[in-house]
Formats: sequence, C-alpha cells, structure tokens
Amino acid sequence: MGKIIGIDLGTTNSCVAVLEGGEPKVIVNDEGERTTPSVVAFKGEEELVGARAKRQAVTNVNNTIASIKRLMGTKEKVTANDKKWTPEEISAKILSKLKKDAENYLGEDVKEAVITVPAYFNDAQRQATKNAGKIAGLDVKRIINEPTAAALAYGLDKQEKLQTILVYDLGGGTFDVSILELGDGLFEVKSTAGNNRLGGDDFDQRIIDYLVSEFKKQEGIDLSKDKMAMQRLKDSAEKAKKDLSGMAKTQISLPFISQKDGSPVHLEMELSKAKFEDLCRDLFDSTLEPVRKALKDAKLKSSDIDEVILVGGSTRIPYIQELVKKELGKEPHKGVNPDEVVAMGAAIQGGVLTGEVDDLVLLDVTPLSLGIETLGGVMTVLIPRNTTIPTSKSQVFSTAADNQPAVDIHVLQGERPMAQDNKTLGNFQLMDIPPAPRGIPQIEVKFDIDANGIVHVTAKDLGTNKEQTITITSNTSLSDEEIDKMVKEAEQNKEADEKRKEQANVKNDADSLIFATEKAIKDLGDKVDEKDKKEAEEKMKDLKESLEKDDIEDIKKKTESLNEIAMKLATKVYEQAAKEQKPEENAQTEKKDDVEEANYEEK
Amino acid sequence: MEKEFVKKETQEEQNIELPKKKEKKKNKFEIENEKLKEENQILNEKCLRISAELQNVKKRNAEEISRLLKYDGETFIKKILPTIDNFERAILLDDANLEDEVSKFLSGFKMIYSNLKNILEESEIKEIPCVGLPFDPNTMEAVLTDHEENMEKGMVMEVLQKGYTYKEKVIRHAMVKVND
Repeated sequence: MGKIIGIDLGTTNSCVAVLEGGEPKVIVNDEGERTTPSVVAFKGEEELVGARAKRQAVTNVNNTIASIKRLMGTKEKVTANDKKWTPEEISAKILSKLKKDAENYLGEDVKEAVITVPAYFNDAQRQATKNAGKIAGLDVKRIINEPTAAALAYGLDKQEKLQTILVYDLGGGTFDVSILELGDGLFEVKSTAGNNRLGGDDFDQRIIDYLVSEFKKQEGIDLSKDKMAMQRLKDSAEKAKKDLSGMAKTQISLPFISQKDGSPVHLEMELSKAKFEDLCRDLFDSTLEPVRKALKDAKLKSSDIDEVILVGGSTRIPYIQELVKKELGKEPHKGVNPDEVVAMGAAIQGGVLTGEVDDLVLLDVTPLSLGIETLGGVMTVLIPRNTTIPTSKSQVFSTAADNQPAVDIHVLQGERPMAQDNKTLGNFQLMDIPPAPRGIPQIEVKFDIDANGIVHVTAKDLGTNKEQTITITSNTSLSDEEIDKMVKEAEQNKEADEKRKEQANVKNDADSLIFATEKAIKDLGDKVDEKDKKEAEEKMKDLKESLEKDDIEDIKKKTESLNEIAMKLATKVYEQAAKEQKPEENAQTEKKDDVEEANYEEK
Repeated sequence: MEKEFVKKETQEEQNIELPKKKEKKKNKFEIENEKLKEENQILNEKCLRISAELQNVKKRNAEEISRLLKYDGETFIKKILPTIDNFERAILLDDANLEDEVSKFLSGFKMIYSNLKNILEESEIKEIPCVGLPFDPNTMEAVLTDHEENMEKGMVMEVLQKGYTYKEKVIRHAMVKVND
C-alpha cells in the first residue's frame, strides 16, 4: 500500500506533503524549495512548471500561464503553443510536477492524493480539480477544504465537543476567511468571505513605492524607470518586510543604485516597523471587513468562535496577528510555517485514509530527566527529558573506595545538576561486592521505562552477576505544573548549579589524585625515592586539609601542586611495570578504561 | 519438555471433566486459536510496517543530512553575494586613469575583490556564464527583453545581476536581458 500525498494547489504557490512516522512532512522540490510556483510554460516542445516557468515568463509571455486556479470550473480555455488548454489540463501539469517531486523523495510510485480547494469552491470547481488530478495520473481520494486542512494540521479535529473555528488565510495574492464547525469527525463550512486580490505582494509594493518616492525627494532621481534598480528594490522590500516580523527596524542599503552627473548615488534608508505598518495599515485593516461579513453570514458573534487559525505567509506579520487577536478576542493558532499548514493537513487526511493515522500509537515522553547520584553528590542522567518511551538505557559505573562492599543507588528525577536539588524516586543497595581496589568493580545500572511510565532500575555487578532491582511507579504522579516548575527552576539556577557541579568535580579530581598517589607509593614500595615520597605525603596531607576546609580555589591549587610529584611517581610506576612486563596488570588497566569515570560515593 | 507435559495434563484433565462437551470445547479452542492467530498476524504486519517506516525515515534522514552537509554554508554564501555585486558596481566606475585619487583607491578595491573571488572559487562557488548563450530558465531569470537584429532570438544580451552555483546547485539565478 503506497502513500497518499497531500497537495495544496494554490493560486500563486503549491505545496506537497506526506505523512511520515505519523507526522506530516513537507516535500522539497527538485530545486530544494518547499513551495512551487503555480506557473506553467510551453517553450517549443518543452513544458516548464514551477520556478523555471516563472523565470522565463518575460521572454515567453504568450505561452506562460499563471493563476490558473482562478479559472477552475469555468469553460474558459487558455491558449499556449497554438493549442487551447482547459484549466484542468494546466492544473494537471502542476500536479504532475508535485507528484514527481514526491516520488523522488519517497523513492516509490505515488498514485493517490488528497487535494485541497477553497471552502467557497462550487461543485464544478471541485470536479475540475478532481479531473486535473486524474489527468496527472493521481487517484484523488478526497477533495477537502483548505480551512479544514488547516484545522486538521493543528489537530483541532481531536476535540470532543463541537467547535466553531475561524480560519484567516492571507497568502501571496489572495485572502480568505472561513468559518467552520467541527466535531465528531464532521466538518461543516458555515460561511466564507475574502478578497481574491489581496496578499503579500501588495505589501511589498507599498514599501517599493515608499522607497522610490523618498529617493526622488532626496536625490531627485526617479528609480521607477530603471528596471534593474526596481528589481533590486523589489528584493530588498521583500526582505525588509520579512525582517520587520522579528525586528523593530531594518536597514535597506543599495549602493550604486543610480548615477547623478557621472557619480554614483547610493540608497540608504531605515525602515521601522511602525513606518511599515503606516504604509500598509489600510490594507491590513481592510481584512477585517470580510471577517465581520463571515461572522454575520454565519449568524455568529466573535465570542462564539472557539478557535482561530492563521494560514498563509503574510500572517507572520505581527500587526496582522494583533489585529486578528483584537477583533476576535482570542489568541490565534499560528505555526512556524503558516504557508505549509494546508498541505500538511491534506497529508494528515491522506494518512487517515490509508489507516496510518489509526495505527498510530500515541507515545509518551519522559517529562523530566532520570538518573542516579554519583560521587560528590552529582546527578548523572541516564534518560534525558523528552525521550520517547518505552525505552531503556544502561551505563557502567564503579566504586569510589578500596574494598567498598556495597553501592547505594539513589534514583533521581529532575533537571538540576546536583542530586540534592532533584526529586528522589527511590533508593536501594547492591551489596556483597567482592573486595577490590577502587574503580575496578563494574556495576551496570540499567533504567527501563515501559509504556506506562513505570521505571525499573537494575544494578548488576558484572563480576558476580549479582543484581538488585527497584520498580518505581510514582513517576507519573507529578502534575504538569510541578514538571513546569522543576524545568523552570533548573533554568533559573543554571549558573549557580553549574558552579556547584564544577566544585564537586574539583573535589572529585583531588580525591582521585590522592588515591592514585597513595597507590603509586604503595606499589613502588622501597623503590620510591625517600625525598619524593616525603614530598608527596606532605602535599597529600595539605590537600586533604584543604578538602576538609572546602576551599575550592585552595583545593585547585594544591591539586596542581600534588599533581607534579604524582606524575613523577606515576612515571616510575610505568617504568617499573615495563621492566617487569606483567601482562595481567596491563589487562586490568585496560578494563578500567571501559568503566565510566563516575564513581559511587562511599556510604 | 516440561511445558508440553503440563499442557497434556491439563487437556486430559479437561477431557475427564467434560467428556461430552469435547467437540464443542475443542471448537471453542479452535475459534480462540484462530482469533489469536489472526490477531497475531495483524500485529506482526503492523510491527513490520512500523519497522519498515522507521528504516525508510532513517534512510531519508541520512540523505537529507548528507545533502545539507554538502551545501553547508549555503545561506551564508547567499547573504554575501549582494556585497560582491556592490564591489563590482564600485569597480565599474573606474575610468582606468591611474593618476586620479579615485582610480588609485579603486585599484585597492579591485585587489580586495579578487581576493574575495578567489575564496569563492576555492569553495566551489562559480559565476554562471550567460552572455551570448541561449537563455536557460534552469540557471537564469529573464527580467527584460530587447530586440537586436544581429543576434539569434532567445540569446542572452546582458547580465543585470550575476548568478552563482555552489557545487552543482544554483544558489542565485542570473538576472538577464534576452533577445526577442
């Protein structure tokens, strides 16, 4: 069974998406773009679709067709290449290209599709869209309304009660408002309104006009007659518009835009968000009229609307978002890519039809990180937050002291680096570890979370295969607020926590160094230089005192000082070992390397 | 072995207990068995499908990442291109008279520009050749047309803004004037 692709067949741009692992994914075309211009051109035998067709338009005006969607369902025909084409045939060429892009991406044939149409499309227009699909070699499983697809993309069909949804769709060249009622898997269009000649291009034009008139005032040069300058202005205007969605002002600088008396003239202007809003305010505000009309036609008040969805690239403009919010008194749903939600919704509908959506098991994630306490009171995370469950993870640890008979497993939950700041989920001991030097025993700790969020923690001595398990069921008892609070606390205390963790690390290092030095002295026995031995012992004593006083800077300094003499001793140990060539000892060292550095605190 | 033994025993036990209902009981087990087999098949199928989907997603992800890595820095390069255009615009103003201050200044500009160009070429960023070639919508965007008797129709007359490729990918289309 193949995939059913979702297609947003737009007036200016089209977009194709597919359900992948339960999530809709927009497919990039062969030029690496996420949307494809709805333009078709004929050049001799050659047929061009998308950006290529758009780029050659001026050289081939008579054989280039754009905005064919406006003719769908009519008897009108377009002439190109000395042939008359129906709107279905032209749309089919766009659909074929999208189909091919999807096939390239999926690596398999695509035969079925869900295509979206505006809510106001009549039967003839819908039938024409379906026919276009057929001509393109697609079995159109369903034609769905664009606003419905948007609602699907936001998962609004999953609500239990009947809801009224307003979809505000402001694209590149058209504006649509639709009011839908949905509930129990049923969608009903209550009313539609709009302006099919309003969109992002109009806002760009306002910026261009402003720049041209300002430049004329400043320099006395009319740029509108210079095609190249106008092209540069157009690109800059579009970029400025996009910048102003995230910034309060933007710089437009076009050096060498023109010449005056043989010298170059540059255009350098600042455009503020406020100025941009001034320039376009009447256009922005004009979108409210269709919103009010749609409400009136549906016999609804703005307070009757349960959800508001923003669709189309122009809804990224903050003024528009505020405008809609103010008019309807509701925070609208807005995605990262409002120009892709319709195709994504169509892909979800496709997934419903193949059963992929039903098969989907909603998997939970761990709301907070899980781990254990290790040497120095540090929390070592085994399963980070937001990991999809069920899952399991294991890590090997070792002991912190010679002949340590048992390890304490302190199971923690939370985002703070130090154990004491996190929530304790449980405690247990793994006992009867055979006597061995520090760092030699290998204790494997395994976390296993099942689909219900129940955590099993197992500690196993890999030497003896002895193990101990704890099952924690209280994991899910945290409320959303508590989880939020814990995550926020971790963010707030990030700096202080990191400092404390570093301090713990400094102490751990000092501790390890003392241990290693003591071991080296013992191993060397009488082969150690008496002077070196004395110096090392003195420095160790200093460091131990410093550790007791808990003075971090002093510990650091003394660790460094001890390190010098320790290195000297270590070199001797290795020389000794090389001389004696003890293979067993080498093997032991290697084994030690596999073990994680974190050690258990001796209790 | 042990399991089998236990199984037999239970069956026998049941046989003893309900000898008359043997047929019916067996049927019930058979039905149950068939139901379980069917369920098992569905689950197996689902499991296979999910595994296959996971593998496919992984494959596509890997392809996408390698594609992204290949064109690493593309966004940055695209942002740099207008600056290169402006260098060229500045250099174009030179009247090549080395005596005047502007020309002296611009000769330094030219050196900076050629350094920049070298860096681009080393990074496989190349200018798209256009003038005198047939218009190609794959690499060029026509913004103007004109008519010239001595030139074939559809040939590029002038480049208004240079186009660039990064490795094999067109990162900016050349804006050109085409003979009509």
